[in-house]
Amino acid sequence: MKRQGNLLYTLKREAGEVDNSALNNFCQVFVLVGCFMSMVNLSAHSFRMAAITGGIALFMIWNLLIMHIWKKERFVILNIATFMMVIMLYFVVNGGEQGFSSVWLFLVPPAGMYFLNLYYGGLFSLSLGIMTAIYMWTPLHELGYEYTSTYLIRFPLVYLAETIMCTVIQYRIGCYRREQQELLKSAEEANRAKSDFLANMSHEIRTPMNAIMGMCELVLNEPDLSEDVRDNCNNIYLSGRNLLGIINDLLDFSKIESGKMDLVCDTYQVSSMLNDIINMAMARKEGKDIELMVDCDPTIPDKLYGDEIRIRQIIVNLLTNAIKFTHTGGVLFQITARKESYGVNLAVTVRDSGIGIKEKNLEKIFRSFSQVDTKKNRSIEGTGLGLAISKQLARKMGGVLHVESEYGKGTAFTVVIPQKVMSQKPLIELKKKEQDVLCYIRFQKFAHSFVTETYRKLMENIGDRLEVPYRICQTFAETKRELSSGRKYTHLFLAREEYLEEKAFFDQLSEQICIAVVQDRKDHVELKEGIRNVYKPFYALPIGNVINGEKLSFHPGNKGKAKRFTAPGAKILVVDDNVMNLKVALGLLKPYGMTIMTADSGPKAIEMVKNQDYHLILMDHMMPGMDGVEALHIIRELPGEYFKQVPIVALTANAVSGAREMFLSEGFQDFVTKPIEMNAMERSLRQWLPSELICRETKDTGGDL
Amino acid sequence: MTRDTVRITTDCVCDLTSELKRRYHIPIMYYYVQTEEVRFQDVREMTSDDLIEYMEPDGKKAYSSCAPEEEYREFFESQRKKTDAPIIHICMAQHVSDAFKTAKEAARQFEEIYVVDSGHLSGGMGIMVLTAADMAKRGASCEVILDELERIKGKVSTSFIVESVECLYRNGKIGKHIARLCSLFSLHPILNLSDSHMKPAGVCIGSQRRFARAYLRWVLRKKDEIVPDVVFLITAGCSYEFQQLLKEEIRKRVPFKTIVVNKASATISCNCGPGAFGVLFLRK
Repeated sequence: MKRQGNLLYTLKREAGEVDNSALNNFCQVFVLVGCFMSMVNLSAHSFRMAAITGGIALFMIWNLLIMHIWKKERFVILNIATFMMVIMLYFVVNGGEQGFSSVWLFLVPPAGMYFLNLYYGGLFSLSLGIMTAIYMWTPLHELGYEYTSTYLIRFPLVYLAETIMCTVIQYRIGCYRREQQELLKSAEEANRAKSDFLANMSHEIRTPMNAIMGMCELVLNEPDLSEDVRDNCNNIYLSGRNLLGIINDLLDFSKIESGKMDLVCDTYQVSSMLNDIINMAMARKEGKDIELMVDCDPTIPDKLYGDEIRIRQIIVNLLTNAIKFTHTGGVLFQITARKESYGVNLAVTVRDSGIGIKEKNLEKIFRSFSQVDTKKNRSIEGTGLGLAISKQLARKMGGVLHVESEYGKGTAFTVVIPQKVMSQKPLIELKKKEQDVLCYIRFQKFAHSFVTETYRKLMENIGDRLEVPYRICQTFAETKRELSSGRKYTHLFLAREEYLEEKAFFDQLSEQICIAVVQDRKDHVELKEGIRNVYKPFYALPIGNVINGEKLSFHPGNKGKAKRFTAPGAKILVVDDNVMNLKVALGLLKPYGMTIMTADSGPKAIEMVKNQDYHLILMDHMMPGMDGVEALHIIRELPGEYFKQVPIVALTANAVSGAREMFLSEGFQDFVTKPIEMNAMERSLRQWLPSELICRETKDTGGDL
Repeated sequence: MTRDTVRITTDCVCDLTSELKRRYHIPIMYYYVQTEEVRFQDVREMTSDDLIEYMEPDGKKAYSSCAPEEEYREFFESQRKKTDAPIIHICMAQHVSDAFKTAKEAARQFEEIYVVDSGHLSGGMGIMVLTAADMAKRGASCEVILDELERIKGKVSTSFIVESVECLYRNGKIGKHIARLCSLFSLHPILNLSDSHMKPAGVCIGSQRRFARAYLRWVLRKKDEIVPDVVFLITAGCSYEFQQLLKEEIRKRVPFKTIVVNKASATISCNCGPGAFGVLFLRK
């Protein structure tokens, strides 16, 4: 390696630890020393030496000033080097104890090295200095404290030698550090290459996945399918979704590994997010005899600002894991928010009565690709990336994710994420506080103590949380007694089993007070008109809705799916080089009733745009010959206002970090990833199609692809 | 309302395990951990591991502080609603944290809420809390419990050994040059609690296992004076294997009936830093 400048500068370069302030302080000390020596010499009438030391101090002050003005540290280093040389000469010329020379010699090099952060060199230099001093003082003592010319020369030579040794040691340390850094760098590069490979592979797999799932969806939409074909198709579709989940995990993991995970923050509604999460968890729980319990703080502000998609991803992952590893009992999903000056700390805890995690494995569960207790959990699938991704996502959002577990008893994961508050309006606000609520539930009916105890606590807290008078009865007799106690109950909530046992009584009672029956979405019983139906999980949000007299969002018929619109007047162009992808897009966009044209290349798309006006263009990114970005630029440069304004949405499997920003900066209006997620596509259509063309809302018949 | 004779409450820095807190029904008041960007409640929202993960890669800073008086007041109010019995709230050593002063001020508005300066922190404070909770469970009166707490205050041994002085330096507990020297010579200071003050009690040198053994030799000296009932092993950012090694070493030296292993709260961890641990017990 080529050396630059003087010795200290080289040292600084090699060790890579010196900062300007250390150099500066060190130099200032030298200035003071120079001034002090000048004064000592003046008082000793040694005017020649006073002039030299005073001159050195002035020279150093000058250099310091230049350093401050020009910010060039080499002037300070020049100061230090000059001073050291002069001290050395001063000792040789003037010698002896007269000028305190030996003191400077003992102290200055080690102190210098210490202040310059060259610790090991400084330490070694100090110890050698002490040894030299011991060596020197004994003969001096024998000579009656007088120097001989031999010692005068030997002393600086020995000391010079030791300083050189220190320098060499420090240089070796510097080399060693550099080697380490290089090794670290190459390891990081290898890791990055792996991440890039994963990202690219994920991208490559997503493209054919789009065709598989899209075609499958189209087949499933056919009305006259035989049961066998429908079943097989459904299985292909579900397996495709699972595979897509794994690919997405790999993609997220590679993004996190390479530090390219971007957050897309926006205002979101907590109630809507909760709704989606609970729907998803209920679907995952299907077929398992466990309870999903929800404890939701009604005071959480409903509108928060953050990356909803990522928060949802973490929560769904935790819930999926809990459901996966719980065979008896249940899963509790708890969500609260605590006010802070910057917004709230949104805290989600997912607690289960599952198999638990051994203490020695707790450290490993957040590591990538690791599934603990693999022998026991052989039947449970997964990449082992979910928790590692969730933890990194939480950290990226400034939050934390931790776990507490007791082997054989259960596990609790808690994620806390700081979020900004966009509106102080709480999640649930009772319109009228003058309500009196009675709840009839037999806790003993649950076989598992975890479920019994959790339900008991939840039910006890609901009244406090909603700030309404609230009483729980555990037997029918107690309920009857309460109802006839003279207290004016306005609402009665009871479970399905309890309702069925005394159906006639409650049917009759429903004419006096509002009754709501809590039951599973599957196997739900028909209720008498006027009795409200509350689907599990039973928590503050549906209770609040019943008390407020609002329509509940959970109905087995719609399962929370969004309404769709039609736009028969809209004309759109879909551009993709892959014929299969075009077919998929055509099939998926068919229910919207739009006129859809297709182009299989960039030049063809440009020709079509020139000849006809479209309301929206969906443009694939990666196409042979001319890619989507190039086609976009050509369209934008065509003469006429229309070409500059026509909305062009990028349609691509390139979901790697920064893709969104890249597309938007290139001039695309929006970005939709493949395989097409219908919600994302629909959001984009709603946003970019002229509003006058969106004419009516219709119930969704399909799902997300 | 519950029918306690005395209710024992404490701060989260007592480092009791969840199981012990549940068994003795000990309500816990939180501390705050302030990171460079946001603020978390200790234990409830942020654990010691979370904090170490936050600080370690980029050398980020974090500070801890007790809850303000108003929040202590709310805490006492909620406890008062639950019980009519006298409440003893046990705080961290008053010269180490402001919690004692704050809690005492907040408790003024309530009758029969006694705030006690434990003179200790972490598991040392935990031992005092457990002693009080156990006495309360057996029906001891408030005065008797307070007297007993005063009696054992000087007998609890609370000490920690610090692996890296980086956190102590970052939090201004030691100077830059001392920190440099410690890191240069691999020095690991032992911090001891005495008379509610945290003082350096010694220095161990060398690798993790070496200084751990030296510390255990030091802390578990005079075996005959140690009450061999319970010992707390509180760690911050130590691996499971290292915890087990420490447990074995403790067992070899003193035959404690129970060794409670727990992770330090984030408050303790942000002062001691990763790799710190303490062995806390009662002397006769």
